[in-house]
Amino acid sequence: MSNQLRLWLATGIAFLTASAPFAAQACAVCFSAKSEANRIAFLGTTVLLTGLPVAMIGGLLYWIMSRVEAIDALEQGELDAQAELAEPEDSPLGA
Amino acid sequence: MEATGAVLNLSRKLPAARRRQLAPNGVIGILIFVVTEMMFFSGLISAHAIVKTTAIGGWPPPGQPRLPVQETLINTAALIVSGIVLAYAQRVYSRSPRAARSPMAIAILLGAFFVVFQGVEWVALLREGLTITSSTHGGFFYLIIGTHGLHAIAGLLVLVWAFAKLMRGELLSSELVTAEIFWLFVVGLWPILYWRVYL
Repeated sequence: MSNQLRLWLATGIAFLTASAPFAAQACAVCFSAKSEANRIAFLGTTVLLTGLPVAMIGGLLYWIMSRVEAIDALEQGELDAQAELAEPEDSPLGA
Repeated sequence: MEATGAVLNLSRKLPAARRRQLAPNGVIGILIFVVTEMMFFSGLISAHAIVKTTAIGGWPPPGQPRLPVQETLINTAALIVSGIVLAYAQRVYSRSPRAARSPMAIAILLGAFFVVFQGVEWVALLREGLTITSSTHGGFFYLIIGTHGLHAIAGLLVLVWAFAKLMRGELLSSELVTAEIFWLFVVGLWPILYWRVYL
């Protein structure tokens, strides 16, 4: 296929796309929507099925991170308490 | 062999492993399960929403029995109260396991009421002619509500098992939390299903 033919083909596709903007802009499901209510249902379910897994995985990660921070703080507190117990109250050097 | 030795030597230099678990295994497992179940029900609700808007002649289809909206509202209230009471039982358990017995028993009874009421409702609807093959309305109703019903039965069995262990004084806090998460999922999902399917 020559470059000129490719250019004409691309121009033709661009023209067709521009002449039918609704079909071009619509996604597969929106294109098959039969009414306004149906279009809204498609849109709503798309948002639900896209957003829900992201929100749930995000929520789980946030929960895991907060648990790790809580455990770290607890273990650090225990280590500090052990260090305080190990340290003699009156240093022989008098410091 | 040298390589293995190097790895072993390296591992000795690593800091000590975490002593505390992030969360009990049961809790992590049930959370993953609940996430997958939520996606499963989202798929069903989405399919139902699309079919509902494409139905010719409105929804529910003409000639099909109407769902008992008011009666199911009572059932919905019973299930929600069951979830609240179980959450209270879990809070009480941390102070005194013995004190959690009564709220847990109430939660189970309310859950059982919900399942039995659903069964009675189904019998009435079947008598009126709403079957799984009578229409898409019937098909979706029995599929979505039936799947939730199976989850409710499974949740009740888990609660009964936990209650039996509580009565013997063998119930662990993590086991109660695991059972509670699943039951709260069943409870929390129901109002959404009621809104999408019944209203």
